[in-house]
Amino acid sequence: MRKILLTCFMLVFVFQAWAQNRTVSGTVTDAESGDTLPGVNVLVKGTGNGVNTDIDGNYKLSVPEEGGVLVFSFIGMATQEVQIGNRSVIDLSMQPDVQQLSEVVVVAYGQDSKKTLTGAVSSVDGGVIQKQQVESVTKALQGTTPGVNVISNTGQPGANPTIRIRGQASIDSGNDPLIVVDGSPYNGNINTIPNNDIESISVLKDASAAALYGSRAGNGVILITTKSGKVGKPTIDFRAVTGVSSQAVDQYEFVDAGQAMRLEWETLRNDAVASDIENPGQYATDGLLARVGYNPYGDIGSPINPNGDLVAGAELLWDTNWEDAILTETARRTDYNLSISGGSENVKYYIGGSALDQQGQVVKSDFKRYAGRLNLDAQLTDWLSASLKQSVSSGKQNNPPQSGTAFSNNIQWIQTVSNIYPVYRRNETGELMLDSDGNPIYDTGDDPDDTGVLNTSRPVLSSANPAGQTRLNESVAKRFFSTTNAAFEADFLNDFTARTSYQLNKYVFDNFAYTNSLFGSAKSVNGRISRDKDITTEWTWTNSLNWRKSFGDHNLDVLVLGELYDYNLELLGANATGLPFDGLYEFNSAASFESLSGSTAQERISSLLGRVKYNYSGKYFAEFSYRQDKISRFSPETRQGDFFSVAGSWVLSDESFLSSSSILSFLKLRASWGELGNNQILTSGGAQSYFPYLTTYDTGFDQPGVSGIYPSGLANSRLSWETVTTTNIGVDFGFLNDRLNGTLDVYSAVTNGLVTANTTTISRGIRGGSIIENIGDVTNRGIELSLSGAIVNNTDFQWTLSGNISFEQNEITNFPEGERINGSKKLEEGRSIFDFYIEDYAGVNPDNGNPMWWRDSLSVEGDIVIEKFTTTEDYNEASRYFVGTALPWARGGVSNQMNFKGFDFSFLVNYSLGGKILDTDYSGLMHGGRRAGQQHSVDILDRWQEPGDITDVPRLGTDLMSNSRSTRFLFDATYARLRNITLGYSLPATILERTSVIKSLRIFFTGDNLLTFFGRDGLDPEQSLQGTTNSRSSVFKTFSGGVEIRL
Amino acid sequence: MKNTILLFLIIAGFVLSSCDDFVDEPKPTASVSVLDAFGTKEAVEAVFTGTYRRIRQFNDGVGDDAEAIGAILNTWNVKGNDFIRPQFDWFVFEYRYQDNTNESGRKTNLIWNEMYEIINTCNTIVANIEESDFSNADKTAFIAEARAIRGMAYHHLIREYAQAYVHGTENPGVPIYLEPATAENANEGNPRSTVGAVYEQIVEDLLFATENLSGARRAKWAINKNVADGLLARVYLYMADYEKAEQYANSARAGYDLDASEYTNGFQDINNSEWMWGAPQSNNQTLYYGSFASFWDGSRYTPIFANPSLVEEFSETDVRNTFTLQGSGPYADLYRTSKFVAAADFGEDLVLMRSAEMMLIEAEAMARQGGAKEAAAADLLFELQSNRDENAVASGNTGQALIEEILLERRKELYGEGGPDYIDFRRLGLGFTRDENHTVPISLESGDSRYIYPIPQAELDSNDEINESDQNP
Repeated sequence: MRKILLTCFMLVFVFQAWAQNRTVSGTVTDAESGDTLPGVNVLVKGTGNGVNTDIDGNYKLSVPEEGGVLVFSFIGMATQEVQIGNRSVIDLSMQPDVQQLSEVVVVAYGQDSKKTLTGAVSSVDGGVIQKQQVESVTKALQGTTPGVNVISNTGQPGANPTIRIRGQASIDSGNDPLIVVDGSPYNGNINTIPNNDIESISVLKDASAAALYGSRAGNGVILITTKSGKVGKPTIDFRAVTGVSSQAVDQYEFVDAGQAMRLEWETLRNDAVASDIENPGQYATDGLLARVGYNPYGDIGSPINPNGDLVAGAELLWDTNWEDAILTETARRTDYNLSISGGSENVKYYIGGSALDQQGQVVKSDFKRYAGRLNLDAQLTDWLSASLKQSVSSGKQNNPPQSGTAFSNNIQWIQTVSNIYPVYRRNETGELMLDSDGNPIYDTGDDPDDTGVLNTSRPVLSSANPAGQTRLNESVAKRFFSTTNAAFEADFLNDFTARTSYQLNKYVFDNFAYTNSLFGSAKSVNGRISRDKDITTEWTWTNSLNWRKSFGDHNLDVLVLGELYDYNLELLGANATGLPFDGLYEFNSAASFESLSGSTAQERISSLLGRVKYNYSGKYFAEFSYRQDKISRFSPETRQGDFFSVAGSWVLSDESFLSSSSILSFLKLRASWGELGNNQILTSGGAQSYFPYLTTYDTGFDQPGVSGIYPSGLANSRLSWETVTTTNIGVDFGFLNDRLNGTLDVYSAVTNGLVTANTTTISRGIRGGSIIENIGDVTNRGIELSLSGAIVNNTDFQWTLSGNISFEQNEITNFPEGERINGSKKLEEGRSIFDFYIEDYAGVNPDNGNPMWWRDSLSVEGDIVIEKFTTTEDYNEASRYFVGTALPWARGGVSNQMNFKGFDFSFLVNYSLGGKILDTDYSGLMHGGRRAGQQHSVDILDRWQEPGDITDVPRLGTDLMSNSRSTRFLFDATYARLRNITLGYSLPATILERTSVIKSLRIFFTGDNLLTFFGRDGLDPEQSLQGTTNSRSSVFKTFSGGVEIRL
Repeated sequence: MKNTILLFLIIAGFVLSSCDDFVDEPKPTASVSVLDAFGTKEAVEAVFTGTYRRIRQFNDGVGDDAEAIGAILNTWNVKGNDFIRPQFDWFVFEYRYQDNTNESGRKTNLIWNEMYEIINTCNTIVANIEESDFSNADKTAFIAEARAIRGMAYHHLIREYAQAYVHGTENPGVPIYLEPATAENANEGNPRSTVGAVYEQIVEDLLFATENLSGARRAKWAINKNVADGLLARVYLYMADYEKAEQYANSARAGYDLDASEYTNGFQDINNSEWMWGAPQSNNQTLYYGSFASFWDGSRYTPIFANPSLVEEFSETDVRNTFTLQGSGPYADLYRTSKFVAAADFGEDLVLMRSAEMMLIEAEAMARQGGAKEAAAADLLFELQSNRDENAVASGNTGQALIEEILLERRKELYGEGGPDYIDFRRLGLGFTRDENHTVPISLESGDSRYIYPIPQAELDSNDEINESDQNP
């Protein structure tokens, strides 16, 4: 609020400071037809000061006394910039052009334009990214780039999404794309980069686009480019956004404490019936409190009578809503960005600073980031230029557990512990207990005083209470990232450019956790602290020589480049226990050390690259590229890799037989082929394996007082990267002067030599019984289409609608391993990595309420004779079937942009069609009485209760495996999400020009993830590539308002 | 000039970026490379240390009944007549002889996988030592120790997956590997060698060991000449070569004086003077519930019970009489033993060889040779008996009666340490029938197929040289 006041104050201040202005006028014509052009936007560069030409193509505009630059723009025409100088009349004839096609696109080791691209590259403009309230810029790729799958699967602020480009190319190796920031590989955390510094993001999808990144490009490449200064007076941009966040998808609906008690009673009664116990109702009434351990009805004996009804006079003393106890109602978000940019012909600068504070829904969860950047470009002499990019970013993230199976996972707790259990301790009769200061005491359900009485022993997740633990514990990740990039570029011999650049990244990750001494896992050791300090240092040194030459219509661009890359990781971690003093959570105050660990890892790559681009009169394009990588990850014999690509394109619309078409304005065919590598060999634990080719000896095989080592298994010195061969055919097209334009790509990407474990002869005695080898193939195929249309385009109203859709298929084309059961999946040749292979639910037996599953009839040898021969009530006998895939058949996004006078309105929707999700969060809530005191979904109220009931929900009972994994919990994963919606208003130039200080001012309201359309309540549709859940917090929806001011 | 400088810089840049040294520099730091592992004597000793640890700890977390050598010994314990496992708890499948009907069973896999892995580690040590720069004396000592471990491992395999030596040397044995596994040969399996060939290899390895090792060693968990002698004595006993069994048993026990104190101290201290070899378990290196002692005193898992027919063989004054009647519950008539005590901090050592066993081998070997040696056998037997029981009286047995008495003494001395009744039946090619105290009756004939395990299915699937027709019956 103070900032907004300050802004208002500044506004008042600057209104008084107007300067002298003069007027420029003129007429704009179409160079081809000679007709005057109405509706052309004329703008004083670097300001919001502009007008549109009138019906006769005339304009009149107030410009600063000292002149400046006029920018003329019109859809379908090439944008032109004209120096005003001393002139008062400036007429202009505009050349037709394809505005989008001339857009600069950042590609591997250079820039290109959409018109001249031969590879498959999707580019996202910084503006699109800045619209979205994301802490990790890659989240903004969701829905905006065809072929890129982004899954943000947690509500922890600052968490990075999972990104897959054109499917999953590998089974056991890493599948993350290579991220390159300003030309150098980036191994820091992507959340250290503020949105506001991003000029553009390019996604390189095929081999032609990515082959220059060689052995690291197999999973695609994401190029992030930061902003640079442009020639002109200093422009100061200030942007402030503040908002509130809450979970985008509400939790499942749970039963209340009263219903839970009756369900517990019914569970016991059903058990008694099943065991032929006499008077089952009485048995349940007598056993109820012993089963649940607590009585939310207070001092009332058995609250449920033998008929299953609440006894007269019983009233709930508490009905805990764990969600309220653990989640905050609204999380605040504030984001401030300030940048100054500008420059002369000789020096251009961009200085940016930002401060972000995003809170999460789980108590304490938040993310704060402060970042600064200086990008400097200098023309030192007429032939030598230099650039310096320097950035620092410091982040602090409180990340209390909100996914996974640890007791401390807050979300799992909400989905596990019944409303029957109080947040604060109650005595035997249900009265709140207070400590000596009169404060309530968190209830841990483990009978801390060893009394054995009622309301002390919780049968579910005892010795814990996240409402207290999360507040007492600390889990803080601090990150510091700095990057320095210095480059010199020299032009010589007319056509040659030499460039050298060096980038150094330093990333310090400091993770601290304190587990409290009052209750939970560290109670017995009087508190525990653990600290990890991971320091990543990486540098890239690139030297390149570029030769550009035209011989008549023949244009040649040759690049030769050498690159050295060095990566260092230093890990240090320690645990200590015994921390008696509140707030003193340092190793110095700890009583004893538990563990200390440390290690270092290094990787190096040296590379030589070459690229030849050729085009003939801007119509026929050909491109060859080659990269040779030598990488320390592989043995000297196999470490050298050669990666080739070839691509060509043909601008048909420039041919005489099409150039006269009045409808088709642009048509280009593209084709490419090439090879990429994936060197991300992982250990069985999922960490990077830096020396997979070396047989090493593991430490820790000690005898008393003596260190011992033992072979870690047999390595394969012939091991190499996985090779991804991609073929891409694409069409770029534009109609009606490109008012409608689009791109279609069809691709196949074949991964050969999958790095996976191959079984060895057991009696050879190789530890682990296998050796990793380059065997197996996976094929990804797909089609990507994106379309954009300027539906309305006139002076007052512009409306552009864009959309994209991607179709993806995945197939294991060669799997020497035969088959592998991987949780709910089975990998085998001819199947996809994402195919579910689980038990098939056959409903509830109406006679006894038991769940049923399908089973095959098997021969003595175990072969299937008849599939789905019969049903069984014994889960252990159920057969497993391929029952669908986690992979959606299509996904994409739709975006809209409308400008009406000063108003702008935009939205972005992303969608995913088809695919399945196995909701084990929900199956946990449908345990049907298997676990005492465990939370129920309200869907349990539809359970079978008496013979003849027709329902899908089995009866209650501790004896049934009704919620075991099966198709009962497999759901359609189709969803759509309104990722962003923004309404803004820019103050008209007529008001602003009276200030002469404020060049533009826009206020806006924006909503992120406001709407989610999904067939399931309680579950966020963004879970995981594998279509499995893990008690994760939902992403948040944020409603914010903000202001953008340019001075 | 400008252009020249630039070109020079560019070329220099390219030369730098293509030099191989740059990429050669990174080396692993979290683990030890082969080069380093065999670079110094200390490093080689660390490899041996790791190998002995591996003999004790193999199946991390797979099951508490599958922890390496301790699990093998307990399996032998429950297979014979002297111990009873009526509860449904660990080792019940072994007790019921259901473990060796499964080609993918835990024990079927454990013994095969562990022993072949140990063998490959030994082969790797031998190959690397042969290529090393150590002195010939050092090389020989290291190789001798590796071959001793290898001989022990092959002896485990041949006992579990092939019929006993006394049934014939031409029976199918197990595959023999003397070279380390490499990426190239990883999928080339060897066929089953004959029982005779495997025993020849075992004897060759152990003879090399005993000839080249000394009595000195790093610690009592390592193999020295005495232990190698002891292993050889066991092997010759299996081969019924009693002259050599006597010779090596005698030389093995030299210097390891009897000390019965461990019978009352829980059998967990490797420093006891009659312990020749053991697998120590300090409290920070434990197998927790997978430890050998977890199945005996009832403090961790339900105890394995002693058969009353074993208990009644002991006199009241015999220090080895560690038995108490259960007295109540479903197993009221069975006995518990306090020979093995589970330590509160899991710091309990496992015995692998004692001089008492060597005395019994020596005595049995002499008794079976007969003639002049019979009296010496009886004397040696009484030396042990009188150490264990102050009221012991020499029996005066001769001939077969003396042999039977020695076999009984083996059961009384070595019970719980792996049989010994079951392994003696198997070794001697005898059958046996469990008495009526058992809940699961078993009657095995001489050469019964239930004495041995099937070759693991995983081996059949991964070894082209062994197929279903080579499988044990």
